[in-house]
Amino acid sequence: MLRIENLHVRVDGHSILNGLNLSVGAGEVHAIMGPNGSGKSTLAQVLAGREDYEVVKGSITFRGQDLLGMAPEDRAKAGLFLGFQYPIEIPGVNNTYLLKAALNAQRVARGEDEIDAFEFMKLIKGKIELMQIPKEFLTRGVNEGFSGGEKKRNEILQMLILKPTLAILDETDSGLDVDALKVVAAGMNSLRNPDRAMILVTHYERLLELVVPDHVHVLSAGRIVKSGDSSLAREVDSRGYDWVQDQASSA
Amino acid sequence: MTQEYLQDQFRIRLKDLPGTAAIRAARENAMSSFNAVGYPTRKLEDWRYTDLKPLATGEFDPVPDSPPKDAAVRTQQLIEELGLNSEDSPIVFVDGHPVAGNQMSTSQDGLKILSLAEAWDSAEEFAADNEFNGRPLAALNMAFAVNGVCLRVADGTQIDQPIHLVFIASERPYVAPQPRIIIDLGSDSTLRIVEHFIGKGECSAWTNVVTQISQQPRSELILYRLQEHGRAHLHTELLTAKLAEDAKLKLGYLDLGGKLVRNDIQVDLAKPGASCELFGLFMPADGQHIDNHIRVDHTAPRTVSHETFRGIIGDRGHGVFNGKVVVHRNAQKIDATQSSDNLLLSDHAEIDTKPELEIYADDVKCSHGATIGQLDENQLFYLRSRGVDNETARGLLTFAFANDILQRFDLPKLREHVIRRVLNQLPGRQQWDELL
Repeated sequence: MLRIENLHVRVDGHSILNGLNLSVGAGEVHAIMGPNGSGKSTLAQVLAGREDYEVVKGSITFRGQDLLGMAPEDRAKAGLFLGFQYPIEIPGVNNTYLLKAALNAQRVARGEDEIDAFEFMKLIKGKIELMQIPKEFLTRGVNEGFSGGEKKRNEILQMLILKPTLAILDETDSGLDVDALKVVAAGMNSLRNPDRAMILVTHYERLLELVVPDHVHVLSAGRIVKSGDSSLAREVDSRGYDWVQDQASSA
Repeated sequence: MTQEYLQDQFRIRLKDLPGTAAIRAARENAMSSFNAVGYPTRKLEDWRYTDLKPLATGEFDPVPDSPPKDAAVRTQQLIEELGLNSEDSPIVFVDGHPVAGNQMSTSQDGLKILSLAEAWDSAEEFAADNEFNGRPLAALNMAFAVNGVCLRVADGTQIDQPIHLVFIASERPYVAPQPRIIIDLGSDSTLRIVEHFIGKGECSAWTNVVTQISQQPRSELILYRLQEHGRAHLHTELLTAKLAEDAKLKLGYLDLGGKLVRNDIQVDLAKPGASCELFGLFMPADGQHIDNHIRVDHTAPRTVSHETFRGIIGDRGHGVFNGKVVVHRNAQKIDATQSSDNLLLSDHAEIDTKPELEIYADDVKCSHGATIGQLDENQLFYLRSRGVDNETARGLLTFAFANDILQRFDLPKLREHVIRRVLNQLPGRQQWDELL
């Protein structure tokens, strides 16, 4: 579904990703772990199409298409979703409006009719219950005045409405208490199926106990230095990143 | 119109203009006060950013004839487009002339509406000042005004139904109507007015308005002034308001049209407890120049003013905001805020913003601020990452910026109208009905 080959990315003149390779197949959940500054968020932003990141070398193919040649909105329409580490507040643009506009953009791109108001409200109602988001939030501005945890739940709500083929969730777990983490994890798990894939970018292992990944990768200095199954996450958790980095440099 | 031309016109037309001998004398005074200074030039601090050359060099007719009969159908169409029907009983002017069937001169309990011509011919007394020394454009209005509206609300009267004044510019070129609006509110009275300037033509014409408001103690006035002229129209106006004890004034301005627009707003909080709220949105696009010039005088203690203006400037548009708050000596316990926020949509867009405070008292709470910015890249990316195309994302964020002001127009039908008009000017494919 997604193939990243030899990706080199610069931000403000600094090399952040240095030859990253990653393959994600349908139905798989991948976790990308790594210390601060290892390039995790840069990878997430580049996948979503952030323009101020300069791709120096390498390629990304998403369902057979050259992802790097696509505008951010076209990537979204093709089924890619980024859950932001820091969701943006947009006062004056209504939450429901954005949800509906986003959903309709995808439906129109797929040649389907726009969703009617009744069907849409029915769809939303079930999802906000799952994400434990109060109804009043729907009429507020996008993320306006939301707490950190509310913003993260709102990201997952958007994901549940859009049902992306590939979801990249950038540190969705950071800043969440145990209960909120469970809600968010339940949202993620509800979307797992053989046609979809997910990339979880995270610092910590605790999310990965609730959403168990098929593959775990450790990123360091802009490259994947170690890959394994879900047991790697636990090992990183008990031994720290230095252990992986030491192993990688001695190898 | 050169000064000589105006002088000639004045000599020729004066005998046909309405008004008693006293009004005629006021017209003559006004004409000589205009002649003493002529058009304001950019050498004057208050006119630094606005060049009136198009007025001085254009060939306008300051006393336009009544529009031809066939303009009536067109007029009716425009009124309907505004969402107004016969229940709203709008008072409509075309090129400065009242349209037949207007609800003027029908005084209901406590509300008196007269045409300006009637009021001036019958020497009806209004609180409005007829001297405009140092305000040359308003002086021209005094000299040449053919008609307008005078409204008076009696003490203790609440008028529930908003009064709609609609000033239509026909598609005749070079007309320069000089409408005059006089509003007197008695003590404890309330009134809501919409002044709507509209025109579809692409021909050059000039509207020069004067609105004068006088409010007795505890009266409350809401006035919304919407300007949707064609893109070749010139619009200049002066609005003055004088407020007595505990009177409240709310003014909302929307400027979408016009080639050259200058709004002068002068509010005198003359007695303790008077307060005003001023807000506005102006959207000069390519080739448009819109200048808001506001002065609020806190003459008396315990007076309050809040100003919130937003500009959205596109292409080679040019916006100006100049807001001056003056707190007079011994006017203590003042609360005054002023904000001017501006969004530049292109590299060629220009805004000059200058909030000013002059304070001659010591127990005051005053704040002012101005911002100039572009659309937020993070917000744009966030919307696009959800599948909203770039153009629509830009339109949405621009709308969100405007909406803060639009929501303040608190007449539901009018708010819907202004929202639609603003959306019309934005890029992208917003799903309108859900934004309303």
